[in-house]
Amino acid sequence: MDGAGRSFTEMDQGRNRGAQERYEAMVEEFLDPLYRTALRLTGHRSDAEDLVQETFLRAWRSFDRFQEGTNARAWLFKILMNAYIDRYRRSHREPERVDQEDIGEFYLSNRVHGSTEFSERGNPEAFIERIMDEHVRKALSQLPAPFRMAVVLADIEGFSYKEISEILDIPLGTVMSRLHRGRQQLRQALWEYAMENRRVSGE
Amino acid sequence: MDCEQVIRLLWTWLDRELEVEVSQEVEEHVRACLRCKEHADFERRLREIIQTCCKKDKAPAGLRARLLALLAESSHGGDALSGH
Repeated sequence: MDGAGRSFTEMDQGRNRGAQERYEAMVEEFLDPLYRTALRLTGHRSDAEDLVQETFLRAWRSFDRFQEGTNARAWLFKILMNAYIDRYRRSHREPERVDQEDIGEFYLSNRVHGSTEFSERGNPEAFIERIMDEHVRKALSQLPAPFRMAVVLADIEGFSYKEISEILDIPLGTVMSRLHRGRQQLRQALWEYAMENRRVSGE
Repeated sequence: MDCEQVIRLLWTWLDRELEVEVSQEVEEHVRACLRCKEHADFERRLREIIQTCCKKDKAPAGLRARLLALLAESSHGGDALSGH
């Protein structure tokens, strides 16, 4: 619980009531998005809670320097990502798997449209409808962290490339390549789970 | 613009990150080309499914309460939770 367990008190000397109310509104507004992102990053509820608490603590610490009217959501996500990198990635470094094979943008779409099963029914929606929440979560959790961070920020939270570049402190081109590779791997995994699932259910 | 170019740009187009003129070219092609339209529709639906799934996860009430309590604590100048 290093850091996350400390109270807000020790660093709010001289901070006024108005700032506190503004900050409280920010907690209410962004708690769910930050928590679900922390959950995607850490994979565990208790780790996600610790990470979110650490994030709001760090944010409160630098709230004086936060400019009213600027992008609060991006600011908080940047703090979250930095806290995640500090807390978790230091201990167990994950390989970036940069030598990954390029399987093409529409791996999944091609598979679905090309499979007799789905094309005979004339409806790839049949595939989409069978994607289960647990498959999505598992596929995301298996992406290497740098790809997962980019995919979560873009595809779940809807940040722009420029915002992601600022949040993760990486160049725009790196944002695009990580998103690209992450999306490819995600689709590959979803196809594999769908096929496994089909065998198990005996369809 | 041909299918190959469109497919290369499709994700960036769906992300609304293309220049206006390029974006319009992709849009025109997708409207006219059944195969590219299928890919685009599929990718849109897939993203919806992924979003819907992940947005089901809400912060636990306990976490919200803990954060607000920590804040309230600091407003009263108390220090009760610092040893937490």
